[in-house]
Parts: sequence; structure tokens; C-alpha cells
Amino acid sequence: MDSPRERDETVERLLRQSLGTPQRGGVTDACLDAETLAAWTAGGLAGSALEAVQLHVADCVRCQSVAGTLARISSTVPQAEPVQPSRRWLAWFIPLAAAATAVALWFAVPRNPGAPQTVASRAPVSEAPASDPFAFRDRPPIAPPEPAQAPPAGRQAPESSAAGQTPQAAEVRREKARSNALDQPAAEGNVAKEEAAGRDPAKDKKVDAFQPAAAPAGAAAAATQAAPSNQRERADSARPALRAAAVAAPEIVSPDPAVRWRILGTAVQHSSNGGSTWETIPIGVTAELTAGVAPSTTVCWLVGRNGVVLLTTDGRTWSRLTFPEITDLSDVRTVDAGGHVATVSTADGRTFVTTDAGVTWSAR
Amino acid sequence: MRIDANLVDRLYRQARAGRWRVPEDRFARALEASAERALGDDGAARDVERYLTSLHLEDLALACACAQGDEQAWEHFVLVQRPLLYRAADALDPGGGARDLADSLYADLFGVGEHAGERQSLFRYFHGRSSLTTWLRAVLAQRHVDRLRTHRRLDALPEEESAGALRATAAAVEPERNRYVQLIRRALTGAVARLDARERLRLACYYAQELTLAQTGRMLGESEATSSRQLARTRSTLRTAIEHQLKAEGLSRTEIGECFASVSEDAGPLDLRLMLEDEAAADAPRKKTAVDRSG
Repeated sequence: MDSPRERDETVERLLRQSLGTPQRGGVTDACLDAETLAAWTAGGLAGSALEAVQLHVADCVRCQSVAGTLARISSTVPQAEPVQPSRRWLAWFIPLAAAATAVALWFAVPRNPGAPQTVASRAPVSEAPASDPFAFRDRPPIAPPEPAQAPPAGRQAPESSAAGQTPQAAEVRREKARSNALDQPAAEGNVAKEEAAGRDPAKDKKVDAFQPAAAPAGAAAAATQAAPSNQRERADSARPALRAAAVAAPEIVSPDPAVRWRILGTAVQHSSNGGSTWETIPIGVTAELTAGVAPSTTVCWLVGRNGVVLLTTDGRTWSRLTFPEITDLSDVRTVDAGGHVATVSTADGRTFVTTDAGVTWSAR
Repeated sequence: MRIDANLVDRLYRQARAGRWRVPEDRFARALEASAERALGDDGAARDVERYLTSLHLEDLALACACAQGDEQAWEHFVLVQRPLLYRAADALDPGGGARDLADSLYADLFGVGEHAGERQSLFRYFHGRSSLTTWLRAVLAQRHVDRLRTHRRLDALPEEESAGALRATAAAVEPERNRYVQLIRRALTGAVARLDARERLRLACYYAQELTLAQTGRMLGESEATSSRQLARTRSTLRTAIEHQLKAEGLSRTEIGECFASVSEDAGPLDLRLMLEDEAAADAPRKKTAVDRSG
């Protein structure tokens, strides 16, 4: 055996054998506490803190096992707000009440086609982008997120590389097998191998059948308005956290309660009179928006699917900022009225921070 | 560490701590404890502010309220977190074996013991650096792993006689191959030990924990593609190091090739105890030779 490629494959086989063998190691004072582990796996550490964690985990079998287990749980069980059982009826009641009100208004209010409409009673939200003359229609849409994982498959035994196949190709093949196995229940890495034979695929499905949260009662009216976009979201069962955020369709209230914005699917509306009337603001993107924050009456941050981050510093014109990843964003936080500092959370639980109005981002 | 009162007030409102009736001074103490833990006593004001604004403030406020025994907060916490915790437990053990761990967490979170007249809740270890959900999962993962490791420690080791017999049989069948296997494994162990921590962590995530490339990349703060490239580079580095080590052991080019060939097929799981014994046995004459040479 003389070729470097064959020897590299042998090294990989040895690594699988030696590192994959259950090893023992006790808990030490240096072992990571749960919060540090959580912050690390959620991308919330940086700098020297991150280096210290990596240095310890590199040689600590126990922390490796905990971190590996946590990573698998996070991949298997999405982070989302569960349904509040006591208010489940509201999910039905609010749309029904809205529909009944609409029918009553249809009969009660005389129709006058020539009369101008107020902004608040305009067309459904889903039509807002189409009526927006400033929307960037020539902008190619950002690639959609990857499709959902394939059905669970058992963890595959180490395979021998086919002749003529590069190690990288073999790795891609193995990675596919691993991705297929993502929905398998997680357990401690080494121990999982011992227990793998006892897994029950039918029970794994129970995890996959996780249903998203219903809208909170306070956001139910907005959720009713956002119905078209919600229908699309229901098809995307892989992102309940994002879905829960989008269904809420929150109003973003500035420190002056008279000035506020609201997200309606892919549109943004602005009110300067406490929500009495709303004006649709052109934002130039077609991705669904999920959250926003307004630390002042002129500064507002919005985030949405596919890494969309928008910022206005005059309350009217929006700039799309470059985000380091094309990933779904679920939250944005800031108290910086200058519009420079913000913390953005991704739907899969990671956090990114900018201190220069979105020019650069760092994972935390 | 004292935090500016205006900042505390702003964060208090941002955390909506008032809805759980958390006193502002208690919330301020939680912020101070969190900042001290992360930055030490002498964090610069700007760093402290940046750190505090990056916290999961609403979760921190909820944890404060639960720790002080606010019924509504506790009810909200259980309503929101219990299903998520059970799902995580079921992901750990589909047979429901981890649910008791999830249940036992609630007792610790509620705080069964008291210290200096104050209930000792597990929430005191939560400082808002991650979300409550992720923190609870981490606590659950820790307890699950520790329980599994404890059970494994209690498992009976194989009989000495049978292990010795197996080793003797294997050694008798292919003595030369066994020697090559031991040489290359020892060379690998040394080469891995000489890698930097980040490379060892990447290997551990991918080979020991069997995480996907995406998960491995996330642990290391790099992309999936970077993880893949770095793993390939590390394998190549290890191969070169092994070749040099075997050459230093006095093996010819042909013998080095045979070393690699001896482990090219799956040799089955390794018994680390046997490996360590073999290494100790092999080290003894080497040390003696080194002493002789130095003498």
C-alpha cells in the first residue's frame, strides 16, 4: 500500500476505530457547566472564552459526549414555543370572529367603488408587495433553504471506499448517510453505538410529528391578516421556531408609542399615530419578515427568512444589510438608538452581533 | 460589580421583568452575577453593556421570577418548557428512559433545599448566556451522559483469563501483522496528541461523537465545507506523521506499506486496555535503549 490516498483512507479507518471506541474519563473541575455548553453549541461564545472551551473539550471525553448529545438533540428537536393548551380555542375563535365581522360589514356598509380607501383597510397583506412600485423585482430570489431531511435511516457501518473514488467523495457519501440518520434519537456518542440495535423507528416519527405553536392571543388579529403567508408556512414543517415568530406578526413599538411599525408577511407598515392609520413602506425584499425592534422613533431593525436584515435610520427608507449566512432569522434585539449595535438570532438558535450597523457580524 | 442604574432600568424594561413582579434590585443582582461570571470583576463599562445587551434577558427575568417562587412565572415556565424538555428526553431515549431525568429536573429547578433562608434553585446557575430552552437541554444532556457513564463503569469487565486467551490466540495466528498494527496505532496516538486543540476537537466531534459535518462545523464556528477541508488536511498530516514515526522506528519502505496494509481492513474494535499494556511493554526496552545510548 503505497499511494497517499489509500493511506489517508487507512488513517481515517484507524481514527474511526480508535476515537470511536468508548473511553472513560471522569468529571473534573475544568469541565464545562451547562450554560457554557449551551452558549457554545448555540454559537454564543467568542474570543478567549471560545478558545478556552475548545481547548478543554478537545481532551475531555465527558464534555465531548455532553456536547455531542446536545448537538444531536438540537438537530432532532427544534426550538419552538409549544402550544398553550388553555388558549387553543382562540386559534379557532379569532378567525371565526373576524370572518363573522367581515360578513356583517359586507352587508352593513354601503359599497362605493369610487371612494378612496384608508391605508388600514387596504388589500390583503399578501398583495402588498405586488402593489409596491419600489419593490426590486429584478433582484433574483435568494436560494430557498435546503429541503427537509430524508426519513430516518440506521447509522451505517464504516464503509470501504470504492476504487477510483476520492476521499472527499467518500466523505460526501458518508455525510449523506449521517444526514439521513439525523432524525435518529440522540444519545451519548459512544454509548449510542452500544444501544443502536434497540431503536424504534416508529417512535422516532413521534419527534418528527412536532407541531408548531399557535399564535399568542395578543397577536391573533395580526395572524388572521397574515393568513396567506401562514398557509405557505404550514407547508414548511422544518422551521417551527421561525413559523411561531412569523405567525405572531408583531407590532414594533418605538419608545414613543405613537410611532410603530408592523410586519405583515413580506410587507412593512408604519404608523405615526399609535396605530390608527398605517402606511405601507417599500422595503425592496420578497422574503418573509419575522421580527423587528425599534430602539428609537427613526431606527428600526427587521429580520426575516434567507438572511434578510433590514435597517432604517430615518424611519422611512430601508437598507438591506449583508448577513454572513443565508439562513432563516427569527429575532433581532437592540437598545442602541444610534442603529449600530444589534443582536440577531437564527431560527436554529445561533446568535450574531453587529456593532457597525451590519457592516460586519460576529457569531456569539 | 456595579452596573449603571440607567442601563439596569433599560434592560429591566427590555426583559419585561415587571410582568413577573421581579424586583428591579433582584434583576440587577442577576445581571451583576452574570457579568462578573463572564467578564470578571473589572470588566470595562463598554464591554459590560455590550455583554448585558446580548443576554437572553426575558429568559433571565423568568428564571429570576421562578427562583423567587412566583407562581405565575413558574406556571408559565412549566407550560412552555415541559413539552420541549420531554421532546428532548424522548430524543435521548425513545423508550422514555430519560423522562425521569426531565422530571427530576423540576424538583431541582423548584429548589427543594434552603440555604440562609433562601430556596436553592437550579435557576441560580442560569445567567442568560443562552436561552432557557438550550440551557435546560444542556443540563439534561449532562445528566443523561453522566448516568450512562456511571452505568458503564458498573458493567463487569471481561474475565482476565478470556482476554488473555484471546490475545494469545491472535498473537499466535498473525504475529507479524499484530506487530505492525501496534506500531501504526502507537504512531497514530502520538500524532493525534501533537495536533493542536482545535484539530483534536474537530476529530472528536466527527469521529468520536459521529456528528455530521454541519454539526461539527457549528461546534467549531466554521462552515460545513471548511470542516470537510480541514478534516482531509488533518488526515493527511496524520498520515505523514505516522510515516515519519514508522521510519524513525527503523522500518523499511516496504514494511511501512505493510503496516498500512495491516489495518486497511476492519480489525474490529480496539481494546484500549490491551493497547496501553502493549505500549507500556514496548516503551520499556525503548527507554532502556535511550538510556544505553545516552550512557
